[in-house]
Amino acid sequence: MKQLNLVVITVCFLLVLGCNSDQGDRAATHNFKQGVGELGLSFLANSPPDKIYPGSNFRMIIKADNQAAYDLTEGEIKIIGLEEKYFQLGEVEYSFDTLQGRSLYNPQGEHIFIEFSGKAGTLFENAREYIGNYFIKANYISSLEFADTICINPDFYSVYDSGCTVEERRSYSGQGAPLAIVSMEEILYPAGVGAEVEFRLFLQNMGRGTVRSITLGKHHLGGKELSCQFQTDEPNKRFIGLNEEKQEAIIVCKAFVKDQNSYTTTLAVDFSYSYEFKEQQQLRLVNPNYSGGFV
Amino acid sequence: MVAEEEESTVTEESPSGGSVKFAIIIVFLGIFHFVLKRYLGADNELIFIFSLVLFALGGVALYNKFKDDRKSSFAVSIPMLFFVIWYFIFGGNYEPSFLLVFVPLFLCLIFLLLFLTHGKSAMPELFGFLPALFLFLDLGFLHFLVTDLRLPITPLVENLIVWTPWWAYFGLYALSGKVSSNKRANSLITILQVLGVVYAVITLVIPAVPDLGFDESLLPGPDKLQEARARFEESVPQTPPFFLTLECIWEGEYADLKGCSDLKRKKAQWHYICETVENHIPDSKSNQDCLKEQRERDVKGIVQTSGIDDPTFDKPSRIEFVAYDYPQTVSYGDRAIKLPIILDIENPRKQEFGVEFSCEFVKGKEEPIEGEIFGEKSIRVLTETVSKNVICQPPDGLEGGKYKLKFIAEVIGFKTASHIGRVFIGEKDDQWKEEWIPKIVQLYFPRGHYASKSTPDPVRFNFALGMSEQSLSREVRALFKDTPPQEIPIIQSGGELILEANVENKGNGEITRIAHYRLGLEDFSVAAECKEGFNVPLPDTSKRKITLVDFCTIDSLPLDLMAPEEFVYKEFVAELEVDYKLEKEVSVTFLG
Repeated sequence: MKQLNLVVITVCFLLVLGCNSDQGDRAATHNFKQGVGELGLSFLANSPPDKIYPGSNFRMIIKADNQAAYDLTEGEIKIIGLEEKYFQLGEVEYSFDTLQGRSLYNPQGEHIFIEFSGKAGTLFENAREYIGNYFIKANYISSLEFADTICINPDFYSVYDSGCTVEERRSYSGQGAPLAIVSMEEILYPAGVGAEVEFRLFLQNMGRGTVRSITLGKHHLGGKELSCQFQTDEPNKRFIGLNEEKQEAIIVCKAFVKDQNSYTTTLAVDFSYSYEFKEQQQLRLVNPNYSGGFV
Repeated sequence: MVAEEEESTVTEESPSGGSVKFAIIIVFLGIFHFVLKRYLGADNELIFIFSLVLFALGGVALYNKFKDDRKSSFAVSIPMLFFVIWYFIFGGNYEPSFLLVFVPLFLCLIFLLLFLTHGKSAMPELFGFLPALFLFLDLGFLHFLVTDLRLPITPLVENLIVWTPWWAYFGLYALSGKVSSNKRANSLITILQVLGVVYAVITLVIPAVPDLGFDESLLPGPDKLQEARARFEESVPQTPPFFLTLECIWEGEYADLKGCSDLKRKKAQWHYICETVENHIPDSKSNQDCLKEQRERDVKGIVQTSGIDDPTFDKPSRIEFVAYDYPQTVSYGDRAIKLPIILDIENPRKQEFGVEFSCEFVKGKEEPIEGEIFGEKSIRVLTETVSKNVICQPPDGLEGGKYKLKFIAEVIGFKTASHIGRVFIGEKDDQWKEEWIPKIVQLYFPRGHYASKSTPDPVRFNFALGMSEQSLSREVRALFKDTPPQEIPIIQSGGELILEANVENKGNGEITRIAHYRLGLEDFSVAAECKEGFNVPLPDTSKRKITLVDFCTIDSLPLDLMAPEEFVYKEFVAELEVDYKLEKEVSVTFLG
């Protein structure tokens, strides 16, 4: 009896901790702009079915679920590479303007269901089966916001400073997008009566797809605008194009500080980027009359 | 007294008794939880509460295990409590800055307890990790690996995590050792533990083993061609190189040991291609021709396109004579004897064709003497299997002597078909090609065979469509180093396309007529005779391959293939109708 009471008390205690009934309160304290989140694509059960028979109609229903902390815009989802002789789809492309990201008002992120309808053809010489390989390709534009509180100490020569301590290097686990700032370096140079502070931000693709390009948005240190540019050979230093092999970029931001004492302030930089990912999939056309038996 | 002794001596009040009872409850509830999870889904609230109940029960079971020492048994709850705080209050935070505070705090408490209990709390604390670990495995491990750590887990690992009844295992293995004096109870527990291991094997190992009752195994389907091709592509010679060199020394080829062992290795590969990949019978004429072709391909660079049997057809077509065992010596009075043979036909695609029979007697180098077919001289084949008795009667007045009796079956209108896949990419820049072409090839041509696949028949229609050598781009050529240009499956716009087709005799008979061939390239701008032909003259039937289309050039692609936005994968079908002659000789001696 005592032990049963113990079990009941324990379960109640855990329920109080574990149950997520008040999503609003929890959401209010949750920072969505951390870690890695991106667009997820998955098929609904039996859409398409595991086996499709010749001459039959079928549907492919894709759930596009935005798990990033930012809205996705100008999105496109395509089915590429299905042989029409075996699987003929009415439409092979779907576009969306905006798919909302995870936020206080939408903690789960927005998701949509995309339906592609098709008709199966006939098998080559009544073969046992045909495997139709294809790609699903998704591309979209999204954004990334980076903000961190940093310490700036322009006084190189003081032995003791009661203010903050400069961290020369910091690591991050992501800002809620597939593209992430993974680390930052802070370097201070003496410059006349003040100092020049340089921030090197290292961007990296942490998602499953490919970053096509990154464009620099706003960039501030405290209330002042920074001077930022990508380390690239391209003439426009606010833009960088990437390829599948190179999925990293470095952006360098500089500012001149006049203050003598150390202080903390906020560094904020945002970006927009174009992203693409492709997945291999299969459809299976099966001969129901194959003399080898049930397939 | 004896009966009493046989009863279980485990009671609820005894130290291990409560633990055992809770462990058994957890086993059955764990199985029920696992089954319910399949129906309601892992995200269901009821499943979540059920998991918490099992977690609590696990803690209580372990608490009972160490009930002797109350202080120590309390230590079981410390790891559990910390896990709960970490997972539910701090959301499973694994940030280094957080862990640097949380983990030392936890360790401090652990060591403090160890100190206060003089080390007795060590085992309870260790055991306390178990319910925490199992709750983590049950609730969030997969998600953690995939979403948070972004590890590329294999389907094998996913199987392990999703399909394991974690709580049932927890209860089962908490019943370690002799838990009761009742032998039946102990046996039952042992059986359950063994079944648990068997279940784990079935879940984990069998998906990794091809053809064990699974259509979708984790490894590629083990059709014969794939295995053969995989082995061929590894270039594993039949004999290790050391022994090849020894053979060359034995044969006296001291002057060029490397050349000699290279040639032996190549010969082994030619035999492998002809006998294993293309299925020719060793020592048959078709095999000899195949070996000759492979030699020409390697040595002279002469390449005729080849093909393979389509692996989605399990049963090949087959037409062959099967001789009876009958007396080879026939006396004069038995000239009227009827000499039979069986024609076996396997026609799995239930094609329709005719077969005409004849026979002749050949004595030495004399002219053949026609025999008479007794009964049906021709048949129409429509069914899946036919076994026909063909009877030959010698003509009147046949002289005595030793004869070769030749049975002949002429197959009229036998049809075969083949298909080929090609990828049309239009005009793309180098970056697109470098990024997409390897993926396309890996998806559509995983076994590295780019030529046509045909229905498995005695006659095969091989064809290939590709860009000419001069039109191939550098990137595409680099990806297909040793492949003849017409067999390269990637086609760009703006270059010259070539088409080649041949008929391959795979059986032991002879092609006597090519009645009709057609290549399904309706929308392509190419000479008519390249796409279709009737009653094609046979240049040389002694060759294994007869060229039908000898590098025709295609002037332009259809509009829908010229500039696709991404790429288009398209299959083309070719059909062939032939007459095919089979012969079988038996020796007969007529006396008198």
